[in-house]
Amino acid sequence: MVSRREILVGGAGGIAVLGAGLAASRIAAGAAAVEGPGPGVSMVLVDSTLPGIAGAVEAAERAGVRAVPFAGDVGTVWLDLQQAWRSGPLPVAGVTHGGAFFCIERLARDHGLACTFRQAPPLKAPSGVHDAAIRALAHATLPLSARRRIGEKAPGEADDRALAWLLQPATRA
Amino acid sequence: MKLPPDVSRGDFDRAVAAFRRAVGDEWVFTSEEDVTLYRDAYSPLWGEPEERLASAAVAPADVEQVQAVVRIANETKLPIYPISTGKNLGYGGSAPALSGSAVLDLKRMNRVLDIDEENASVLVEPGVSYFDLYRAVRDAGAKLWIDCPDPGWGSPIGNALDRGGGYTRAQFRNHFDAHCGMEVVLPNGELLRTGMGAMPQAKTWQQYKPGFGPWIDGLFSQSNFGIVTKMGFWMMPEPEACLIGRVYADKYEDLPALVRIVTHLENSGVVNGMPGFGSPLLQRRVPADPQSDQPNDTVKIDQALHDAFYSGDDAARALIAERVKSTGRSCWSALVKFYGPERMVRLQWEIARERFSEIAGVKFGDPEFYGFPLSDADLEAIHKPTFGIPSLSIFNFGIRTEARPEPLDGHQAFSPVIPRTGEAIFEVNKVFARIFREEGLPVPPFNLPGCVWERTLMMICVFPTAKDPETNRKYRRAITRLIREAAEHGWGEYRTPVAYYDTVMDTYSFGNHALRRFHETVKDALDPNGIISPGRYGIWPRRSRPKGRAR
Repeated sequence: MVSRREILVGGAGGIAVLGAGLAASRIAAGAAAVEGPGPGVSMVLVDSTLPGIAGAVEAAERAGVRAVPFAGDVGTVWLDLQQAWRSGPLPVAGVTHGGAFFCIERLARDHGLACTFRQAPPLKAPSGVHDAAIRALAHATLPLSARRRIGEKAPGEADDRALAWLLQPATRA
Repeated sequence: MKLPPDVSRGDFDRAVAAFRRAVGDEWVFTSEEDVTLYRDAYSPLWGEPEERLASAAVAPADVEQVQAVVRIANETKLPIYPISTGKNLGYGGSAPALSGSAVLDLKRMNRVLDIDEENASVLVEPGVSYFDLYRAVRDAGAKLWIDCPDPGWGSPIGNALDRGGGYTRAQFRNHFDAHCGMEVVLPNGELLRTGMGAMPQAKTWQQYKPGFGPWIDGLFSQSNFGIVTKMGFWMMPEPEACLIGRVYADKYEDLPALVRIVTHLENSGVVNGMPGFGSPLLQRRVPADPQSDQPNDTVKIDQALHDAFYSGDDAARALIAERVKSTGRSCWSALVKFYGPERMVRLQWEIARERFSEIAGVKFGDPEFYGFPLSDADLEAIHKPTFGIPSLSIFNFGIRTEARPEPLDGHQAFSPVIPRTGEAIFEVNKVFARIFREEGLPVPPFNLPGCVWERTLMMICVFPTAKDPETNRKYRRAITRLIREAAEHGWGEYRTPVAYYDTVMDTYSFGNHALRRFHETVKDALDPNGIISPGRYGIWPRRSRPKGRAR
């Protein structure tokens, strides 16, 4: 039995949304700035193993955004995310472990997205995760002048703590 | 921007302009923010002058464009550094071995060209990831398993060419051995197919490996002799069942017998999955324990107990025996896996138990039995690569634990191949612990090696990388010493981060470095302009060979 796939990275959807220049950033998504207003957040990834994660799910539902759960291994949603991004650089938010975000951000780079919001929620605060998720979602609505690309993690910033984050379409500087 | 020492800015500009004509403007990257993305996030040289940085990147869409890029590199002498998906963090990522090289990014060549269920094989391009292949196989409805490393975001071609390993049956988890036929763009731009692929009308490219004449495929692994643009792989037919057996031995001195029996069972074909060793007493799980994807070292280290394991003298053995008794935890465990029809794997386990019973007092856990497809509950709990499913959960291993209050920023691995004996495990641990102490580093927990390859063991010692040069220097010094002293004991690295390529190649020095000189002879013959991946795995072309070596 033989099957063939013809899907190449770089469908036209994202380019139509954001204009010329984005196709190249699907391979090297270097972005000094993100252009607004852009499309709304398409999904919120939530790691169900994190304490207080129900708050993030609630925040997503109230914002009318689909919450996509996974249990520790972000690989379980990797293929779906990759498939979604192959048709265009849809903004995605999340509340996950830092390790999971590390992986997702690298996939995002290959598809023309950049991190524009990243915050470690205070896990011990009763509404810490919920509030951080709301801030990530709210960040997607900010005008261009208020948004900027967030680069590599800062020295000493741990990868293990929970992070609320937002990935948005990027253009090259 | 860094350029190689013998490449002028004018040559670089000419190369970039020609790349743009060959692949299109939008697939050539020269801006700092684009090129920075090819930096190795885990580089042990981060921020130091010696850090390996690319000058540009070019992303061809097909083989013809790869050939065009190679010809341009020859004309302009700008070195190119091919990557498949560039995800082998800890071994260099997407950064070149020689600063100033242009990364040849093959991610756009991401087609699964063939899935042959009857022959249990696939043919893929370099930009295909294990996740892509997993999905393609499932979409095709083929009952085939992939064998993938942890994590599964890399490329089957990239991992096989780096001679990486996985977790299922031996002939599949050795990823280079599992390949069957390749297509290679040579440094002069010519296209070569190996094995039966050399015959234009071949019907058996993914069925018969050697072809006719010298079997040259190995020349393209861990090397810089060509750019592999297609590769076939043999796949594992989905088994009816998998049975996991657990064996426990209580005495410190039982380890050699435990290793010997496991090895004989594997070499005899009775155990056909990847075996492993652990220590319940030390709370060291077997690598790739299918019941857990949690890392070791999540509990506080009992240093006195680890010291006793390192020492192994009479007093240490008495302490270990007392702890075994007081905790009820065995000193050692072995895990054996069987894939096949249910009746067969149950019989294999029975035979294995008979053999293990040669160890006085040996105990057995209830066997774990898996049928396929796995349930959702199983999928949430298991080590997925053991069952042919790619995962990213290994990125949880850097997490903050009681035993490791500071999480890892990045990591680098020192991974020597050692004999498959219990005696070697004891000796390696003692030697490495001494070096750690002498280097002023914390002595890590007693380490149990992996059984990735048949007939040998592989110690995997993971060290941190940081954004702080002083920390990196400290660990580089220790790893360099470990590489050299391990070699003095006959233990050689199977693979290494870019920063140690030359150090490791120096240790393969039989016959006054005959092997390295052979590599260099081949390199000079195939790639006289030295344009493909100079320095990769310690192979330097004549134009950039270190001083003191024949040019």
